[in-house]
Amino acid sequence: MELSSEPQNLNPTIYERTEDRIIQESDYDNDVRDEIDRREIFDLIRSINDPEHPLTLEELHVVDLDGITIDNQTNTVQVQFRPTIPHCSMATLIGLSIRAKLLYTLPTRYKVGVNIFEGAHIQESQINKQLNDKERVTAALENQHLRAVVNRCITTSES
Amino acid sequence: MNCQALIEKFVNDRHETIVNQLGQLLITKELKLVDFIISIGDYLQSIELSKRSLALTLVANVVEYLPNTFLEPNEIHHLVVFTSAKMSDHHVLIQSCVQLFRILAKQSAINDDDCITMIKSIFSDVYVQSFPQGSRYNVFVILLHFLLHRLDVVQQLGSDFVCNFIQSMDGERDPRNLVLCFQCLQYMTKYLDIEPYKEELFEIVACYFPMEYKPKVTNIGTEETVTQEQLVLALRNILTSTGKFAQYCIPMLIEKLESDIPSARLAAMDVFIHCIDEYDARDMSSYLVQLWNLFSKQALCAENQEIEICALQSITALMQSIGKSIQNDETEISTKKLVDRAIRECGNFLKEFDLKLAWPAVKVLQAVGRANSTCSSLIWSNLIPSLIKQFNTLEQANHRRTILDMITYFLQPTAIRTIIKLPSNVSDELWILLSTHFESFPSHCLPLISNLLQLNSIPGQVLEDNLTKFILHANLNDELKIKLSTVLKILASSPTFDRICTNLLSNLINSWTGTKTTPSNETLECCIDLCHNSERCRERLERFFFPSQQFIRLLPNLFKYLSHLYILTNLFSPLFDLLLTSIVNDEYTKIFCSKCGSIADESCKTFVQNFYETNLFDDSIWQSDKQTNLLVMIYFIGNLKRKFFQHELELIFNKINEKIFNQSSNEMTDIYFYFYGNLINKLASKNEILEHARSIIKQCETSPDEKHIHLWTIIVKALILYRPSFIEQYIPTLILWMNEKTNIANLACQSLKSLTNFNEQTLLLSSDADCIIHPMVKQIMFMNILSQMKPLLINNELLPSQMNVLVDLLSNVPKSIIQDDIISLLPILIRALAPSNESAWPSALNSISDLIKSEPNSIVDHIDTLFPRLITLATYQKDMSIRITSLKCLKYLTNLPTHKIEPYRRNIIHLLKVCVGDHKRLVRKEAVETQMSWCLLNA
Repeated sequence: MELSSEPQNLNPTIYERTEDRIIQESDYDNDVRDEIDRREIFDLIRSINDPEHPLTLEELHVVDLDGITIDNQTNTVQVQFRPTIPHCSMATLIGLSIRAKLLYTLPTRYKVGVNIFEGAHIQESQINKQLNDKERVTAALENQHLRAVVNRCITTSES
Repeated sequence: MNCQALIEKFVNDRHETIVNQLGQLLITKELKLVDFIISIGDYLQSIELSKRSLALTLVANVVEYLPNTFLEPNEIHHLVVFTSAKMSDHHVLIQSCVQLFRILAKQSAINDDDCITMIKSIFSDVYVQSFPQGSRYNVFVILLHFLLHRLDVVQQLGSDFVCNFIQSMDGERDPRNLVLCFQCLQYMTKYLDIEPYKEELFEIVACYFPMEYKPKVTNIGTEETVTQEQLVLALRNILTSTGKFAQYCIPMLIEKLESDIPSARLAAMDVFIHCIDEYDARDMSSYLVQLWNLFSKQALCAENQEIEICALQSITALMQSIGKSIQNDETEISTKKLVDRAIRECGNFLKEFDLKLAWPAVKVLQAVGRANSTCSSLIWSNLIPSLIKQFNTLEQANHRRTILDMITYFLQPTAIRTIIKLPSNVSDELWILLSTHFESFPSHCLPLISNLLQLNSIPGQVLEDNLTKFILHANLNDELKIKLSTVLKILASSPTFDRICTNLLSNLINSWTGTKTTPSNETLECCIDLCHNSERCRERLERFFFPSQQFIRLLPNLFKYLSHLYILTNLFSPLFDLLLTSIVNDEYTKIFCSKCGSIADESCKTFVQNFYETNLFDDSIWQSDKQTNLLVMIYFIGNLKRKFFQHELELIFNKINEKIFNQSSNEMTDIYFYFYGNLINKLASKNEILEHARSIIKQCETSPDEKHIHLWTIIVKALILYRPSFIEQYIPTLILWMNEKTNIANLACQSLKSLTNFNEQTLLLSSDADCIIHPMVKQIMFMNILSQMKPLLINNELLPSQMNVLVDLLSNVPKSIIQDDIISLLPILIRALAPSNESAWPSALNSISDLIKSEPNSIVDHIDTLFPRLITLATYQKDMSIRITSLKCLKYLTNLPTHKIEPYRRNIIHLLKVCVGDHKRLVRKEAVETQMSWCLLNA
């Protein structure tokens, strides 16, 4: 994966951010169980920074609420994302950042799948295969240089 | 010692006190100024430069010692002539000369010619910028003094003064001097003819823009420092002080607006916003489009809110300045042309709701519209009809909502609201839209209705029907209630909507009188909202007045519209029976009684007097079956104002004094005691009352049981609210009680808790009840308590209840007071986290979390004990707030030096894996943030 100095998509379309989740009264009740839902997964990944632009994946519409599915019975989470252009060379890095963020922040019981939206990238199947290969993801995150890049993406201003 | 000897001593030893001695001699007339000058004459004319310089300094210092009315005009004249001659003698002497000038300039007897001599001498002989800061400062002080107090003299010099001043300040870098220079310049642009040198004058100021200055951190705290804000403001004031600068200033602002540095752009916009009062639009006519482009770009792509707000204000300022110029269709400057441009450029963004630019574009257009009435009507008549059309063609509900929000935003009230009128066709279209879609989008239509009403747009009959239906049938949530209430209050307040208001009120009243049911809370609230009008309130209120409990809750909202006597005689008295039925449990009834008490003023004196004489002084009221009557009285009287009823309160205090003490112990005792405290506090300025209170305190101390300690606490609190230093006398008793092994210790802990808790104000002991509350009560109390309690705090064998109350105390203390002590108290806080102190955990955790956040390094020595505790508490199942605070502490701990926390990292990341799976979402959220902080520790 090469990181060129010039962004590939020079003029991406920027979208409005969704409102923060409204806190309900039941959220403060210790006896009520709040299941992890799609919105919560979305909140985890929406703030990931794009590797090229000073914008978040949400603002570039790379991830949205519709691309997330969660099944609490079988403990599976599926995230689909959409690179801004079909030949984006950063797609793997974005996918890896999503994976890393979920790896750090989701309870271990979940099995996570990260895929590209169908038809959103020219090398879709290759990238999907890479992203869902546990060994390769682990190896990638052990690579110091790559880990630094991924960490930069998943660092939010608050943390 | 004679004068000559003193002078010699000064020249030889430079003894400072000699200046005072000489000054004193002159003031007491033992020495004449002429004689002094003659005596020092030899030194002043000495061939040795150092002696001349010293002698001159001595003269300056001695004259400085004299009051500024001391010197005669002829004395001043000779000194001025002499000093200006000395200026050209040698450059070393100039500094002393300037100092002498500064003192002479402030002499009140100085005449005009001498002023001119002085100014000329300074400008011709002093190369200001070649001198050290202090001397430069003196020069500017002299010039500013003349500008402020001898403007007529300065005006005689005309633009020469301006020219010379420019030369003097050229290259000035010291912030202290700059502040003075900027002040001088401000006067010059205002009162002197700067026309010949305006460009030079602008240049000399513009080089400091944008002002970037960071005050150095000085060790001497007392030294007066110049702040960045001071300089920025001074600079801005000059740049915007005269329209003559416009031709130079605008290009400079444009240059700064094009830069990449946000602070420069902000500064440029700030100057622009403030320059429109002085600058004429004609001076910037050739830059208008360029300025518009730059501002709209800033507003559309703002990096942060500050820039966005500034850019929007600049746009408004630009339009306002254009609006002020004379214009017609041919002129280059035209409001219409620029508004058209704005609509052309931003209008398209309004159609793409999903894109990020839609709202910024709305804001830009609104900023254009709020500039003046022409802009508003242009923007409204162009955009609103097309938005309405768009609304009708769109099908998605959320898009329609967005459009309603946009229209609401365009119509939001601005400072110039009164003179703008909404074009009637736009207004009609909007009312039609609202009437057809009100039911589908009430939450978005209501704000639009309130904006329309505020623009004095008259709605049709449909609005009444819609609102009536909405109020009676809809199940309103809080958000809708607030919006509805705003609309109703606007309707109620203006005489224009009187008809609508009356109809609406009739409809609502009919809804329950017709069916003979009780109105719902919401309906009654709406009715009360419709009474918010100072002239019609009584009339409207009386139309549907009937006593009910709901009423008691709502009536205080209307108190500001009604006369005080009316409230007491027509509302409070008739409702009395109703109040009695619910006073014990109903908080609102208590509040109602309190409010009625607090509004009573001089005009209500007779009412109040009759009231307490017939009720409170009747002995039967103290029987237990009448206790509710007593409660009404207590809340009413407890809230009477000291200003009007001091005498009456004293009378009441003396009358009931014994009775309260004799009350048998029941649930009412608490309220009696607080009432007693209330009276003591209000009357504490009277010595006999104070003595009385003290004797009761003593009485309580002799037999400490639950009732007496409680009374003790309340009276002590009433006294320390009045004078916080009283606490000193009472803390030892409290500590004594706390160390007892009996139940008294617990009671004392409770007592300390209520003494130090200022958050929960009871109805009767608060500033609302007109109690005397010392403004520094918190600070003084905590200082005293902490200093006296320290030995107790460090004691290792604290009882759990003591630990609890002390940790609570620490979390209540304002942080600024405790700052120095908290580190020494840290071990206690950490000990409070032990499993046995469950009740102290929340307070201890909050204190620790604040401490780690503000001073992470103070905790370094304790992390070995702190980490295991926090790890345990982060999974404490019974209370989610404890989990959240522990996780917060863990997050803040990542700010410690990495080598200190690295050993714990693996363990904590492992633990946080459990926390991110917590069953509460809010805990998970905090856990995720903490987890990320730890995972990215070295990143």
